[in-house]
Amino acid sequence: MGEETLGEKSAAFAQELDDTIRGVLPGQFQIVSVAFEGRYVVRPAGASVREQRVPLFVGGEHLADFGVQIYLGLDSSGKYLKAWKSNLAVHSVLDRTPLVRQEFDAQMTTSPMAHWHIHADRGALSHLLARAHELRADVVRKPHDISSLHFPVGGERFRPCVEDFLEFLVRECGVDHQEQWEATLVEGRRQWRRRQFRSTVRDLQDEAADVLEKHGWKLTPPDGDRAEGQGVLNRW
Amino acid sequence: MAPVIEVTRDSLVSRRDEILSRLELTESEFWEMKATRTLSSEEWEAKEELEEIDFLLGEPK
Repeated sequence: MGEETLGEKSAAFAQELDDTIRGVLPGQFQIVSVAFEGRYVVRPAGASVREQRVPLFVGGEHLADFGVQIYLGLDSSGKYLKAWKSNLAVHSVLDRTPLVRQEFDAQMTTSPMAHWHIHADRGALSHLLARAHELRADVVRKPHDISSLHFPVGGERFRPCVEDFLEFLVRECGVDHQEQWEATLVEGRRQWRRRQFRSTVRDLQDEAADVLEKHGWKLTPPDGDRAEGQGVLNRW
Repeated sequence: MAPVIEVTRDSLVSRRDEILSRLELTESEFWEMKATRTLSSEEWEAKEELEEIDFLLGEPK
């Protein structure tokens, strides 16, 4: 059997996401991978954006929709697929606008790469933002819109995963769920955190070696210089 | 395995033109509008679709 193509890898990733969501939420949907020249967008199928959603029910009543898009492209080695961007959101069925969004964008520079947007009103915060806008309009561009704020959550390595968002929907928002939802989430989260941990170790090898040596491991460093992955330490 | 839907450059560019023409905006006007005012439901959906198209074309904003 030959090596898996990038398209097949994106399809496997899409299937994994489909299995995770299906293990937690009831309702009809199909996760697909939309492909063009080595770039893939993994999301629910649908002829229009409003159909590209997973329905959310409370007591059997369809009250909101879950939107998920994960953008995959080649990593810096040019061999492996990496998630460059992800959008997770709850949309109202009343007016189809978002209620909360949790996003990641590896190419963000001024705003935090991983962040929440909360679509809500709070007079006292709007007051603060309006005053700041008068002085620093280049920083606070939409003082009337709290959803324009990016609440930072852990950067590329320590950000929440899809499983965290799904658990938020079940535990905090009370949406209907499948019987075995917790087992699905625990398994998915374990895989995600192991992957993120391995990437962090790759970025901070001396740090990892120091911890292991303190626990009795005998390690021999490889020849040559090692560069730390500065992103994991510095970028928000 | 989940389905893979192959799209073409022509279909992506033509869909982007269609969205922007419906909104009567250029793409740079659309992103400037997003940066400065609250979007309607139709504009949110346009944003989602434009982001996807731009990424697939290798032209992220």
